[in-house]
Amino acid sequence: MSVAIETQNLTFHYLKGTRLQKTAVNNVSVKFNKYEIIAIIGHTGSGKSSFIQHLNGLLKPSSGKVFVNGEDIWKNRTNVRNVRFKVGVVFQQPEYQLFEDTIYKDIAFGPSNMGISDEEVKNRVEEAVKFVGLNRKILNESPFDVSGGEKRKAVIAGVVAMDPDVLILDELTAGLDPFSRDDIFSRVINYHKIRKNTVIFTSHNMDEVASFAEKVLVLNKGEVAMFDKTSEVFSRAEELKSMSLSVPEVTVIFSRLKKMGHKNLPDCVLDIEGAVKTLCSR
Amino acid sequence: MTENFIEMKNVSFKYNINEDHCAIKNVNIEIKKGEFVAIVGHNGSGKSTIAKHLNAMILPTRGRVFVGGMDTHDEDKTYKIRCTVGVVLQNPDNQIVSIIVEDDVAFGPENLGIKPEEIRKRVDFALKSVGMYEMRKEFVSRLSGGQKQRVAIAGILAMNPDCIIFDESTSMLDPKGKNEVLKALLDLNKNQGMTVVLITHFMEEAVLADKIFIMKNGEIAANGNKRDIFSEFSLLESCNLSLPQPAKLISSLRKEGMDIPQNPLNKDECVDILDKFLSSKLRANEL
Repeated sequence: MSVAIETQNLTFHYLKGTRLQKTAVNNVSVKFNKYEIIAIIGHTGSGKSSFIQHLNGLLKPSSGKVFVNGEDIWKNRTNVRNVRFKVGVVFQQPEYQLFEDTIYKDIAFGPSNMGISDEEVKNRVEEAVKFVGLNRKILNESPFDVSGGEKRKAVIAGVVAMDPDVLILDELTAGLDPFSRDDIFSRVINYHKIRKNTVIFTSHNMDEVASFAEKVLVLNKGEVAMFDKTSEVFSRAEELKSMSLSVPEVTVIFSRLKKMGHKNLPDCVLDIEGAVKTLCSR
Repeated sequence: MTENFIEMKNVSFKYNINEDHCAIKNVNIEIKKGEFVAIVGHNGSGKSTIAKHLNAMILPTRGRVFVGGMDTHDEDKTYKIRCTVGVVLQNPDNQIVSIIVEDDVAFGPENLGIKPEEIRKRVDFALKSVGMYEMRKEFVSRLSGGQKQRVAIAGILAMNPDCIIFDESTSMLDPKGKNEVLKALLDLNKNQGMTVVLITHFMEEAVLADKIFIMKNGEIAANGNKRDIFSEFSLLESCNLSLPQPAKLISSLRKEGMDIPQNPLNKDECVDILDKFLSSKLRANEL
């Protein structure tokens, strides 16, 4: 399997060289394969967002290296700009990153800076709008006049319109109601299936991590605590708890049932679907 | 019957008076002193609009709101109402004013004219209850989103209000942070008699409350105690909400034709139900 992003001994200090120096990312070496869906979890302040900002060159490592498609992104300074088109990031609370006077212009901003034709920009915006499920009627409205959910979709469309190989979503669903959360996530997954891109997302919602991620990277105090298949990670409930994290409630329910003597139950049940299948098959 | 501490009577509100759209319509809510009430609803259902009415941040377009017997329309009472009801907002960045953690928490009580020694006590107590005491000398700008939110909550606690409204205040926290805040909130309610209004998207959090109001498109779609509300699976789905996993699991099993009549409120109850279910199935298979 080929590698989309790799970090080698990535370390980052905020306010380096001052009395307030703080290490946000400490010696992180991981490989994210192409076409994978990876979740990054960790307590608040564990370094998730700082780590993510290294993956498209928004932060420069204090030491260590970042490779995108096998290339050291800081080898040539002018190259970093191109990395930002290959690795697209939707930030936390992206509603605040809208700035144009219409939704259309905001979505078109990214691709129009890529040196492609106006026609191509238009096509890309259309595609992106379809993918996120935005109502076309609102494209000419001001981003400040639409609802929070629509704003968030507009930002995602703006990143998708750049057609990045790697899509990074930082706390994509924080603050959304359960329906909008499932809606946005299933659109990202659909897009992933069609585009065959790599998706990396951070979340505090263990249910969505368990349902959607193939692999999970656990960060604790800026260091890698675990990096493994989702079912492996969530079968280590006690360790996760000690790192301010948790496992989905259905996972807890099944591990307790198993302890109570109901053998033949699987070691790790991740979501409702899996739970229903398990119980219906006996 | 104790008297109502907070009352909303037929309240409707329009953000733009020239438009037909009402953010909330004919809302009636009664909250008694010491109660723990949850208001649950989808994005844009009017939850936050209700919160803003409860401490006179906005005034009803139609209807009346009373807090501790004071009408929020009465401008002379506005200050008193805001000392009575504190609000913790969704985004802590909108609520934090100082550079240093403990200064920020002291900001509220300082403005109430409280003595320095008392302020010190309140600030320490408030920071300890949200688990931020160790970081009291930190720069706010160096905290993560979740840590900032806990500072914002401490800032309200330090003002010693009778009622605190949590307006989706846990939406940015990690699981532990969320639990700590919910625990602090329950502790305030059960042990200090604080009236708590929790505004949330999540039934997992609403289940902690004594009384639940479900909002849909600006109106109250249902209200009642948690067990009644939890049995209304289809109603919740029509309101863009979803049941917590234990209840959802049992409901999904029922859809598959399994005979499980109970609705679990939490995972303990769910484990009990499934334990009995699996054991009886095992016995049936042996026969």
